[in-house]
Amino acid sequence: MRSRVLQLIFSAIDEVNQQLPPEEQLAKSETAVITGSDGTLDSLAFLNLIVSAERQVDAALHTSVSLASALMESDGEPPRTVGELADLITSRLEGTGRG
Amino acid sequence: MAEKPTRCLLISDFNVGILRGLLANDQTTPVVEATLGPFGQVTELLVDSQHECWRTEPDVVLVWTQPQAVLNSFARVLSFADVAPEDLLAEVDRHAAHVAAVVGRLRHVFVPTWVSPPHQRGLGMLDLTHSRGVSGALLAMNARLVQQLRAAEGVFLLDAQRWMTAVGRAAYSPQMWHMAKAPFANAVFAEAVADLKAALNGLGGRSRKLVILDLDDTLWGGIVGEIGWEQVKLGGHDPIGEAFVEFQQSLKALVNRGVVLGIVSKNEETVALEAIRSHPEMVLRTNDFAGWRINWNDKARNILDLAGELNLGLQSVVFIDDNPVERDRIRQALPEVLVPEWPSDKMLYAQALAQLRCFDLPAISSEDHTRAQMYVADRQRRDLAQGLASVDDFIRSLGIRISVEPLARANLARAAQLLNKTNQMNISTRRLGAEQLWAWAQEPDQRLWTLRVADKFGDSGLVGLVSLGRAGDRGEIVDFVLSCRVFGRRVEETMLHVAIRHARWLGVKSVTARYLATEKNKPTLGFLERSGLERKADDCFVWDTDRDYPAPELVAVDLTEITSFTPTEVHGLR
Repeated sequence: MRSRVLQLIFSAIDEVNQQLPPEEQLAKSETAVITGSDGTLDSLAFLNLIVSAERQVDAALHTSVSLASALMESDGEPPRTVGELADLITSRLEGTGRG
Repeated sequence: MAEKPTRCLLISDFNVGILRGLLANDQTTPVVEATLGPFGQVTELLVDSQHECWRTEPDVVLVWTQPQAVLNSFARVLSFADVAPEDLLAEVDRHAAHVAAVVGRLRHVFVPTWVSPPHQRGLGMLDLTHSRGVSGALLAMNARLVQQLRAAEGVFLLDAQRWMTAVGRAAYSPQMWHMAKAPFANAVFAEAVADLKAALNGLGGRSRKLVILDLDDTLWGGIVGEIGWEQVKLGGHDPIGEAFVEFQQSLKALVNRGVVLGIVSKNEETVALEAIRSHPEMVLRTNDFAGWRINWNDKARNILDLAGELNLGLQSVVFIDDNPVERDRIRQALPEVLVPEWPSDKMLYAQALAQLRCFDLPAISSEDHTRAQMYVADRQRRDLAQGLASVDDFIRSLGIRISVEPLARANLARAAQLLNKTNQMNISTRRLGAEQLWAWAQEPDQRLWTLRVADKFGDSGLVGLVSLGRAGDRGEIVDFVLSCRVFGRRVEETMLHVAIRHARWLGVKSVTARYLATEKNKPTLGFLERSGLERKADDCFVWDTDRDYPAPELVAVDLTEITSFTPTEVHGLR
């Protein structure tokens, strides 16, 4: 499941990268940083990545992960890397996630 | 020569950062440099010409609003309050007036129409008809907006509902709205970028003018050379046959918009033409095609030949072929030609054609409606020319009639269109909107004439412009613009005759034609070099007005509309 989720996140990255200057584009890698001081995404791009990933998962797996709402409602830290985002989505799909 | 980027100011009451990002990364022509006006201050930015956002001197502005944000009355409609229709429309009028006021600050204003989210059901079955219906109000508001802005020069309304429909249910993103104040999905913004680019290309004279078609499995189903025209799939009680008819009807509709059709097909010409002439369900007949190359030669070579014959550059050409190998060949050999990816499903052909964004025009003139007929007449002229010994014999046999008229309101739209899309015979390639052109020609020392050309094969319409500016005792030809369709038919000499004759009437001593080189206007230099004007520098040609520049022989020139000339003057065929 996680590898499938990762591929869907990569599709979302492709979508978001179309709106970013080359120097800010996100690598399709588990270690790519999406939040925090080392990240290149601004807030609009980060939110867009989350919503795009959620939509990719909805469309491919016919399951709503309500990722954006979960992040907004959660007091915890948002995922720092693409890998952490994949973990979060996978855990929500498997019913073990936060929020 | 790289084209200057188009500076685009984005004014919106929502977050259009995604739109800006997409515009910045889209490297298709024209390159757009977008800047953002401060978010949510639409009216303030429109009315305040001194606002900082205008300092970037944008070429165009996109004013994209949500109706409930700019019209208080519509916000009340959304809550199903009772809103008087006249109050709603009065607010639309005010907003339209603010948009129209921007026109003088830049060349073009784009206004996406107002939309509501797909989930908005309003009053359901009453939503279009009830006074509190949301959809009914939105329709009325958009209709009013169109009505108010239709006449504003340089303002173009973009159909945002089509963007929403193309994306479907996911077009509106509640999450992005609540978290980032960007209400639409990325795909909606991508649709907006594509339509904006298409509009800018149309305004820049880069719309495609010629569609070159393959025949077998493109215009009809099957290989006509193998099965005969009687057996090709076309019409009949057959879904595929009907799909080919629909595709041909769509092409015919393009012809009515001013797009010209041609054929490049690997076939026996006699067999293919017999199919076109004889099949009872052919929508397109030989007179719908400006030319063809039906033979066994390389298609790239044939496209080059055909475009050359029609005096159209490859950047004007679209090539449609069902065969991916042929498409790839043309993409490789002729990268300027647009070769759309083409569906293998024949039932999708008409849809694929309708989705092409390369034919947008800022105005459609009567010449556009009849352009295909003009090109067919050109083909008949070429056939005639092949049978005649000399160019003079050919020109004489055409019975060319040239009517010269001053710029007038009646011919302004076509004159502006010609000025802005003509590249090859264009001495300065200056681009002006219709009103700018009109204002220029109203100045006391400036005159602009239009030329219409007709011959025994038909009326080519308004195809030429020449203008003269005067500074003291010297005159200068400012515009010298001629459609490639009538090159070499003595219209060029007529244009010089008109300008120089007016200069003599004004009493100026000389007329200068200054050639401003572009990538495409070498034909202008070629004409100037053989025009009889004295070459003073590489780019400077002068006529001493002690002498008249004679009207050309072999053509009839009607100058009766030129008030500075002798009334009722007509140069007959000599």
